[in-house]
Amino acid sequence: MPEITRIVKLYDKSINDWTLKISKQQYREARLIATKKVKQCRKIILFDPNEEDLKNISLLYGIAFRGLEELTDLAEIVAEYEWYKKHESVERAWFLLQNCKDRFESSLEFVMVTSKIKETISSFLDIIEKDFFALFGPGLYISPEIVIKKSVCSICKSDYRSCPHLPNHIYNGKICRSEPTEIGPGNCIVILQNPKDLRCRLWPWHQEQAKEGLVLHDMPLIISFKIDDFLD
Amino acid sequence: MNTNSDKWIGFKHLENLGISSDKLADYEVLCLPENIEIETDPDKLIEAGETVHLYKILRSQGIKVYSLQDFGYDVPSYERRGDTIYFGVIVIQFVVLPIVTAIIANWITEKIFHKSIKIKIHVVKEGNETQIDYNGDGETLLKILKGLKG
Repeated sequence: MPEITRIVKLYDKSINDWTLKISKQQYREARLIATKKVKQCRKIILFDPNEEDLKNISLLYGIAFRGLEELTDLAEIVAEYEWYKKHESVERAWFLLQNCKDRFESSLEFVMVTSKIKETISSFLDIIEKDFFALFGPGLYISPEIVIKKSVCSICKSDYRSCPHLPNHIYNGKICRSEPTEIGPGNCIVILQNPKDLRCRLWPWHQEQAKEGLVLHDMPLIISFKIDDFLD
Repeated sequence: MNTNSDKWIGFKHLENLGISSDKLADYEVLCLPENIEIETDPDKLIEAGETVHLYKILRSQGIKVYSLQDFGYDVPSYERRGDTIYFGVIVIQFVVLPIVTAIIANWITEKIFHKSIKIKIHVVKEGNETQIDYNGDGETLLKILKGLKG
């Protein structure tokens, strides 16, 4: 059996094992399965002299396993009694929900597990999202506009515009993206309903009505998130 | 949608920047700063967030595409945080419109079908120019582009 087929089968078996553990609410065991596989994917991509195909498929599985790690954390939070009354849990769950959506959107269609598992994952995330909507509404989001003066390619580290790598394509297990090296402030900080990144959500407990007007506090303005952060 | 044979203000501003029609003789697509029509000071030009991605994809498809950076200008990119996709000002020679439309269609369908798009498209055909200043959903933009192909 070719090496790539053997490893993909092992990846798929691990996803099935994770599903069994999470269905029994064995969060620690489920997380361990996902974490172990994330490490294996990282090793294959970064350190082993593997074929490009194996590295590329390992990237997609690695993203999916990172999603399963965070989905485990999310499932554990929302399994707690009245989790939605604890600010810290709400913020963490929202953050994990967005991370999971981003990771699975990019990876789930490529992993070979049954459609039932994929549907279970998607419907779980849908339910949590609907719960958030029911509990907290559509929300407002905050983010600064920024000016990117210079950026390099994440693959070759040369000028992003002139290099031959294409945005969001995978090369040897890594995603091509623009990495800003020189940024400046934009014209404004925006509060909006439809942001590019849903992570910077303005929660009611971040707002305070003061004499001068509405004061916002203790909230992130910009968050750097990468679906393949396990390679950093 | 405007159609006329007068020289487009964007071309006049390019000339002011020293980028004459001779230098652009073989272009098929120009990916230009989003404020090229209103700004004459090169230090104040800004590029829309998605312009560089579109530029790279067009180039990879063998299209002769230029941006101001190809003529030595450092134009910063303006990253907005809403879910609207800003493509900037795109000048397209009519002969490559089907290819460019297919690339944009593929992009919209894959990545951003649900999002809104802001783009200025300037189609050049035998001396006549058609301009679309579009701000709306991806589906309608595709219908307009397909309509232009005739």
